Amino acid sequence: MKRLKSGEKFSKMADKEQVPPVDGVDGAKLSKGALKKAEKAAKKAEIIAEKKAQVGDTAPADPADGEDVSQGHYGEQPLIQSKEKVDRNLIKVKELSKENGKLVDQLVWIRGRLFTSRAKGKQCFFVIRQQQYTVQALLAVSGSVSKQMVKFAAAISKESIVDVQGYVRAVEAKIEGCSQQDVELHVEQLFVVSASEPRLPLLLEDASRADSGVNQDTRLDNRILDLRTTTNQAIFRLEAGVCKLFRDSLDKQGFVEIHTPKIISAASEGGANVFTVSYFKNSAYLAQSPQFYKQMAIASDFNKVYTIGSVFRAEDSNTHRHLTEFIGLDLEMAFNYHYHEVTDQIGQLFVEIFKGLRDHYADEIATVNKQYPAEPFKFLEPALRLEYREGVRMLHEAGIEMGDEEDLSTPNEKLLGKLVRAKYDTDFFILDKYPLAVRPFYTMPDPNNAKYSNSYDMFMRGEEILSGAQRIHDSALLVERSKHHGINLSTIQSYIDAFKYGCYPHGGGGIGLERVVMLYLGLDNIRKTSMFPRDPKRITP
Amino acid sequence: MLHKSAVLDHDALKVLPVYPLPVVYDYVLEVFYPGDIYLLETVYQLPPTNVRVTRTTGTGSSQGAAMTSSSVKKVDISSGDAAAISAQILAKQQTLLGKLKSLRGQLDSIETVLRKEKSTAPPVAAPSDKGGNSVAASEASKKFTQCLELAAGNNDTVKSLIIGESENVLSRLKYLHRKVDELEQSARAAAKSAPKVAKKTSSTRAKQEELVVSADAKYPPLSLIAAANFLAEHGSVLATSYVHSSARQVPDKLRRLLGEDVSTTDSRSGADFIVSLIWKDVGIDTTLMVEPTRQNPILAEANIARYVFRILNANYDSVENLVQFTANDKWLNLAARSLVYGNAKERQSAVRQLNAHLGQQAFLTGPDVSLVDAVVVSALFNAKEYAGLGGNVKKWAHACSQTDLFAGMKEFLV
Repeated sequence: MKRLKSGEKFSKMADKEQVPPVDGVDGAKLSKGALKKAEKAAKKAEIIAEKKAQVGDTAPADPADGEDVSQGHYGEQPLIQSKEKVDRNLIKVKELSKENGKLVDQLVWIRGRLFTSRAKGKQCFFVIRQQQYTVQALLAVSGSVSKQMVKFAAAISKESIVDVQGYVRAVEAKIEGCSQQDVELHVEQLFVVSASEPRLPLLLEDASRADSGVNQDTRLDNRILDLRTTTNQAIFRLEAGVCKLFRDSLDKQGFVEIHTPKIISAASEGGANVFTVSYFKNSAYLAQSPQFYKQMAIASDFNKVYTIGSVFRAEDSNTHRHLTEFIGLDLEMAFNYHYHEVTDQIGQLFVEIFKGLRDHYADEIATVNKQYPAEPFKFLEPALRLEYREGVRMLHEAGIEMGDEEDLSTPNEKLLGKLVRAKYDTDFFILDKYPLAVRPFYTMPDPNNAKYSNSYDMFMRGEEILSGAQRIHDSALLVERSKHHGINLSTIQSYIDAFKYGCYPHGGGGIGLERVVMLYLGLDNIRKTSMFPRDPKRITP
Repeated sequence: MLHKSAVLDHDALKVLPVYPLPVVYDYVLEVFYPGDIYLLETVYQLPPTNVRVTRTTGTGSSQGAAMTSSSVKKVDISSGDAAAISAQILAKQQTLLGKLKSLRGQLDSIETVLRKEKSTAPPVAAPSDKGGNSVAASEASKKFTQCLELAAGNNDTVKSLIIGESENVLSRLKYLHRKVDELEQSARAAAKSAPKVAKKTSSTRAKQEELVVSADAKYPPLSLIAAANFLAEHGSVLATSYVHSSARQVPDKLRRLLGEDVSTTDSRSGADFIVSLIWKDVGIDTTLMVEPTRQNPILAEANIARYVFRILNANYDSVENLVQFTANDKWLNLAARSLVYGNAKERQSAVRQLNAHLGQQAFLTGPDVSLVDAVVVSALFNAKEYAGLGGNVKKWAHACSQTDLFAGMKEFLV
């Protein structure tokens, strides 16, 4: 058994023991007696430091415990530096179950984190956690288990990674606090693979509780620990699922995945909300959206494209639903005669994503709901599509005063979401035919009604998640519309040139991954669904 | 002295023969219209006729020469109120058609009288009174003959002139007859086409009605198809079916229950009625939701049918409509209480009641099929009684399925 050197790792602890300076405070040399005293103190400090550093060691052995029958069955393992190939099958905690007949009453090895431990004299209960799954382990003094081993187990700091060997025993009474509720591990061997500092800045039990008082900032500062909770594991697996379903659904429809540049030369659409980066001798910008490049891909005959990448928005808004950097899932497609082909495609995409989440990620949703309860997400198939005018009329009937061509404010959007939910019982709907005045310059106007445009927004739980439209694919009309919006043509010249050589009529839209997951699960803050969120006040970790 | 031919003293019709004929017109026909019929000309293109129609105001000063038409009110159709105007136009068309009918009746009587009198000397342009009563006309004509005789004595020349005159009048009346016919036809044609014109921009009804019905796949609301067909007779209908995320196992056939086959338009803004069916696990309670901020959900297909009746006819509940309304009620109640929500005994007795009633009548509420029949058929189907029907009920169900109202329901009644 190696002792851990009280070196760099625990230097924090060592620092705490203040070694009195050899030279006096005022610089005068100390007397001999004082020197001796200082030496003694230093030695004492060293011993204390060593003791504190010894996580895995049972020394100083208490002779009252008797002989150690479990010598060699516990302790701290040397650092795994790939010295040798150990032929040992580590079972996943997920598989430990009464149902799994092969494992009951077998001696198995598992590796996981020490979640909690509770020692009571001759017994020690501890919980081993592996991602979302937890199992209870019991170490009791017996013929093969010594008291020293129990003491050792009780002293292991939380979050250390341990290798445990034990018998899988079925239990009659359900263990409520664990995910594997019908089995228990009766430990035979216990080793520490990677120890953790004893003092954790964030207690995982607190972080996993529904009404925890853990501050969001604390969580985000110690993201590594916060992400270990079962809830966060579930959230980010669900987020991965959304990406996967997005790709699968579009690939089936013949879309091609492309990647667009994020370093761009001209700030698109006004340039108010872009980050500037120094680019050798000049400066460049970080892309606010892949909009222009998607369209160029359509003009390059790729017909149906989608791209998944970062989007950078320099908006100084500190709200629950804005980030400065997020993942954008964007798609663009050429259509034949009417832009509703695009709208129907996007609606179908969303329905498939929701159905996939409902059917294949039900466990993850249930896990998240334990800590953050929310109503299940409802939707209709095919997606409900209302017109903007209808929405305005519904708001009028509910008592809201707004103009027919005014944009919907955030509270109005939320109210409309509630009204649609009350009437159609759906959390997801599409609002079609927005007024032209509130849309960007490249939106195709509605030929039947000059005040409206061929554009649409999609809402989840009353919040907007997608903004899309039929784009203008004609250079002349584009020039006219940009003049109307007062945009300097020289900044968007390359964009206008893209349509000079013939382009299919096309449309599309983009969604924010974090926002979709947040609204699907009914969470209250977008930082919960971004692994390492970026906002105006946070750029680390 | 040529006696000026009769000014037919009729407050609806005056024929003024004009000698010599003015260059353009054959007749000047002064016709009484109610004042606001002016709307008519601005909407429809009347075929060019040789009849210059002059209008008098409501009070009708009909003396003297033909009056020039007062300024015709040009209604701005593009103003937002097209719906109200169209409704007005439709109402005015009805009155106009009625008036044209009575006009023709009068012309008929005039003609018959003229012919009669022509054969028997002395001929006379027979005035007809309001009712077009030929007996009264002949009496009046007798009077006229007497006047003529007094004036003309036994002068044959005069008599022959009068005969010729009356022949003239006769032929003119024939011409007029034809013109009125044409007018009537064009008015009818315009009546058919006008609503389509208005529909392109917005619905003809003042308010778009949207019915959101939630139903369970185990109890499909088949009467909704009939309701959509019924609504299609009064306006354009957009019908769609949705499946709710909480519903499991909705068969593909039912997903198409309400769809393109039933819709008459595919645009939400252009539809007068939108019927949306959402398949959800609601069990036996088929629910209708219209305006959640002001209304509670309405349960049962029978009540959905009542709602449809009421939105199509604002007077559905009134005293005038009492007979129809109570007859409907009896069978709607039977459908809801005895068939859908009733137990086995109640269902049997309901079927017996139907059998007895349908022995005497072709359909439930009269000689024609109606939405009530659809509701009862759907209730029988959901109560699992449809397959084992017999006797009058079976014949009636078969007759129902042949009607237009039931178009599209057949494939679901298995």
